Amino acid sequence: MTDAVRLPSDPAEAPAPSIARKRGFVWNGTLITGLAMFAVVIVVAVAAPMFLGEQATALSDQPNAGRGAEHALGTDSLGRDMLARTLVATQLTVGMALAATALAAVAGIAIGVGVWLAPRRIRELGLRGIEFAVSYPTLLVAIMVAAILGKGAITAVFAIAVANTAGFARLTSNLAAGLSSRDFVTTARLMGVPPHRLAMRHILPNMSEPMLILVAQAFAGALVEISGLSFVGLGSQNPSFDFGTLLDDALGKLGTNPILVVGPAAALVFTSLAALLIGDGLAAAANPRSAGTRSKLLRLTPSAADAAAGSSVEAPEAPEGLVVDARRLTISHAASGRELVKDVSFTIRRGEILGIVGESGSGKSLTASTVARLVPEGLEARAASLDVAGTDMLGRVSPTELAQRIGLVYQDPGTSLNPALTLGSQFSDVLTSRLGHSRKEARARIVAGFRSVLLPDPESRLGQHPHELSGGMKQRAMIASAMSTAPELIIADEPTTALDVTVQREVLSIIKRMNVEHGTSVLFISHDLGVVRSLCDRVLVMREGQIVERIDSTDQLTVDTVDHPYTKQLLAATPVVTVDALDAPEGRS
Amino acid sequence: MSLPSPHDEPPSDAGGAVGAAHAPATPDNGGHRAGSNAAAWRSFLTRRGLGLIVNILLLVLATFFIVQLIPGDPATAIAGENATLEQVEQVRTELGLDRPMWDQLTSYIGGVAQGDFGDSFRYGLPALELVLTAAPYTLAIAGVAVSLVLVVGVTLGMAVGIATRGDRNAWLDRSFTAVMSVMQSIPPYLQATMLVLIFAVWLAVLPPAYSLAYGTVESALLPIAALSFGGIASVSRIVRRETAVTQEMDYMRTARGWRLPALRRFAKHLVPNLLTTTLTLSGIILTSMLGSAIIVETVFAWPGLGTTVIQAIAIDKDYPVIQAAVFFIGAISIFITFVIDVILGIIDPRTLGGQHD
Amino acid sequence: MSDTLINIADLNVSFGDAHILRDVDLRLERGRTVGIVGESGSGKSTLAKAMVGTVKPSSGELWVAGLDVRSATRRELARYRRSVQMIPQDPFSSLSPRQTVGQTLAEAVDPRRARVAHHTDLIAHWLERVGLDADMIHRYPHEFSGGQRQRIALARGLIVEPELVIADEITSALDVSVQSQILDLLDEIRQSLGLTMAFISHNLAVVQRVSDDVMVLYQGQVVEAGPVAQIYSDPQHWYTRRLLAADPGSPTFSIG
Repeated sequence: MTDAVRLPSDPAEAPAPSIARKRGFVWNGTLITGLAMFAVVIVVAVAAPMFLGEQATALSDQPNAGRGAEHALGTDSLGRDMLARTLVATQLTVGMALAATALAAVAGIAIGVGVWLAPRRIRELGLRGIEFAVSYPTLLVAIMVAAILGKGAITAVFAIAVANTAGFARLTSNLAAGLSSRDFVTTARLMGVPPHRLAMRHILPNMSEPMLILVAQAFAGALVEISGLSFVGLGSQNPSFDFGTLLDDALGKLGTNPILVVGPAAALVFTSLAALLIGDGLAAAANPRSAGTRSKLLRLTPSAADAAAGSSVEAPEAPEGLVVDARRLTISHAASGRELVKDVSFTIRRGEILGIVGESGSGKSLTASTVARLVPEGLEARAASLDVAGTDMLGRVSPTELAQRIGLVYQDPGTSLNPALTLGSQFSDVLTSRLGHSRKEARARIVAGFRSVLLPDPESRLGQHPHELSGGMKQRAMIASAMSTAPELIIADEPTTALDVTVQREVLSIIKRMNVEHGTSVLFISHDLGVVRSLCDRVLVMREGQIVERIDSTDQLTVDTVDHPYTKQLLAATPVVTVDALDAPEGRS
Repeated sequence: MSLPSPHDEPPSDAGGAVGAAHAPATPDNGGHRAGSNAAAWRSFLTRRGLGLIVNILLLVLATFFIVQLIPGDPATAIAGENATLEQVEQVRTELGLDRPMWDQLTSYIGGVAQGDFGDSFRYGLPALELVLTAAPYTLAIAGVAVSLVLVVGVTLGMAVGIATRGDRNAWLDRSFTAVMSVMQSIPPYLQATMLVLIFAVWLAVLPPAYSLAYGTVESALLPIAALSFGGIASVSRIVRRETAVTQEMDYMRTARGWRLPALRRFAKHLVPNLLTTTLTLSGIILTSMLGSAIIVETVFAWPGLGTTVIQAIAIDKDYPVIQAAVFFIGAISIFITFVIDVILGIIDPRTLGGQHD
Repeated sequence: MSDTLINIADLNVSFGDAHILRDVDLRLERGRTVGIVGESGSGKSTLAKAMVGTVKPSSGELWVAGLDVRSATRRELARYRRSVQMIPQDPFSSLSPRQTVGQTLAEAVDPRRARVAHHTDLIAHWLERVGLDADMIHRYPHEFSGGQRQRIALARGLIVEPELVIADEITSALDVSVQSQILDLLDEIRQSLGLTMAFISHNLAVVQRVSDDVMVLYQGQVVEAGPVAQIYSDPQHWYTRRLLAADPGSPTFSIG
């Protein structure tokens, strides 16, 4: 029924700004699998020594047996059943790994919190110490401890605990540092909450998620490392046995009786995999990635359009002088079907600045992205027609054509420029790859653009990285880049929200100048009625995905002249500067 | 041409000239010059150079205390339960344990400075000489394995990350995660054992252990493989995740807004940002491979540092050798961490400032 | 007791070579609100931190509520910090995600024990005072909107009955209609409680709604200060004029 265009776009920002991000735990398959596997391990660890303890140590008259009916995984050189030994060894192995992990976690968290609570100098020193310790291979630290304490199971546990402590200490101190700059911690501190209570009440509870993930990972690591120590003879000693010692025995007979390796190897991998899956599952649960479907931009079929309208819509015929002609634009969340933008139609004439105002969740940014053919991931946009400068955006459009039609300016100049590339390098890409300019031409064009947005010292800007420019300068550079393809439409999504008011005015005047000098139309998204009033020719007011009012002359943007109650409410809520002294309320002068 | 500065007359749109205060430099003057980069490098190298020296000193102290911290009487413990009194005393004098601690420490540091860790109890040769004989074997397999892990891990992770962006190729996403999780959960020494089983016992194409009957390269293949697989799994999973995260950054949306071709977006705009986080996260994996090498070597009787140090601990209680080997391995991991920071600085000069996490 | 709550004279703050505040003067009488206006880098947040005693001035006088903050003892400072309440900007970072509203407020009343049950009536009173329901006491921050969170943050600041409230850009992260409600609430509360307040903002129109006096900061210096009506109607300094002209809420706002 529809003429689908699959956009070549990639995951964009969050699916929709209006979808409330629910904080909470999302169960997932990985976590459940991991927990189930780990439950099996625990049951075996508890039960096996009770039921199979004797069998595992009983000598039989069948030493070095291969795979057979009686001994599924063979017997060792003393004729002991390898399957039983493996199952029984689970208790010691898992017990040692758990003990080492618990010790490391307790010690590491204590050190981390201690370092965080300490006076500044000691804290600096402590952090350096932790960094130093972390950069060592865990096994080397474990071997040092084993060298000091001699070999044995307890030594191995202690050694692995010491070796993993630094990792916990580092995570704790990093998280604590991040948390202590959060306002709720600063406020509580100023309120007079004592440091240790601050740690117990605010710091530790808020780090539980990453900490649990590290516990799972550290357990997997400890399991492998302790078994490794036993494997090389530094861990548990005869007559006790764990996966590592069993593996060591099996290695010696690899040439003659390879079946022996199967039991301990499978058990070790199974247990370690369980822990890793729990870790991955916890990480995924704490930070659910919306498995968003790819975005789509579809054409409403005429019949569907008619049915929806309930009346005949005159044939869309792009009148001359229209740069944007959007009809019956609807954007919905693909998974839930929820409509975020509902049946929006509007036009932008050549040389016109159209403003869309609205509060968060009004759908104004989504509308703008869709006009640019950059529908965010997970969303589905439909329109009866969507033409930009005579190009049907619902059909096939070449990237070159898109680049020549539309220039984009984004909200936060701090994050929308690539921090790793110089301005010259990133701005010239579109010109060389899509418009066929040589590198030299492209750079000359960008310098000219920088000059036209009044960027001081334009030539040397090419070699600078974004972080070397102030916010206002970045945004001016961004406008220059958007203009570099000589587009017919500039889409500016809250381009001055992140800027100071005096800088905002400079940037707005540059947008206005580009509009006047080059005749470029502008789709300007903003939440600020004051800004829109002075910049735009016409204004659409959006609320909850719908256009509630169209204002054809910005002179009409006053409480008395607008029609819709929401527009009135918005205007009334917009703070105004009163300059007449007589207007100041009584008792305030 | 330039912006109105508070030094100047008040800007035209602000009206008449009223005593503008002697305010400081313009707020919008663009900041850094070219020279700042060199200065950043200088301070970075000074700071990290000092750190390097401090870390080496800490390492010297740590190896010194290996003997000091042995519970009870170190000399008795080292000489063993069955040693005669004379043997114990001999150990005591050889390690200098009969002297005051401070005295021991200064002579230990003096010795280390000249490359003297004492003589091996077992072989009677200088301990460092034994370590230096074994070192090339370890460095060879660890070096090849680290390069493999970086090249294969990063390429694979990025390729999968790009191929599975959005909801693309869900099957690839699932099978990649499954295979890599299993590979990551098999310890290197177990992989070594399995490789021996397959290639030495069943197929009989490669030697099960280091042997002069085979060439060094043939003997090294299995240890390198055993060492690399786990690292490749971990690194490629990190890179895949980081690829997904980086693709959702605002500047990648900007690149899409420029309608850049996919190859240019990924190769030029994504990769440098990806490498920064990847290297930061991989540093620990790379140093931990040194630790794994210690154990993997014993499977193949590979005559490297691992075999040396484990034999010294488990069998010989050869403390001068232990100290020298631990020092050497520790120094290499400090060096790897340093090199990674330098590479990070080259890729992304912002990391020169210090903390990047 | 004097009627002057804040008396700052020749205050300087510098970090190394960077002079964040230079020769700042500020006098504020009890029951009045001063709007502190400035753009990024103006030093307005540093001034707030100096007033709560978390940033050490390099020179100058800093008296608040009869205390010489610069030479106060540790104990005096601890008591002082409870009598000066800072309401932070970001509604999503100002409340601990793991604490209920009740726990957050109880902690303000009794920082050591923080027992909700001992202060239920008081907490309920203040929740209602800022326009929330008393039965929200057991809810967690993620159940609230940005505007509601700022109300909770305000209740936490007011529940200790402070002598001075410092509001640091408390509405800048909110939608205009929510901002308007919070400003109404703030205006009503400060009038009925006779609150003394320092209201920090980059938005001149917002400052005008809740302030008696205004002080314009530019690169660490006070360029102009005085009653709101006077400064807004007849600004003397070019920077004040420029700010006024650049504020989209200003009747003369136009894009040059």
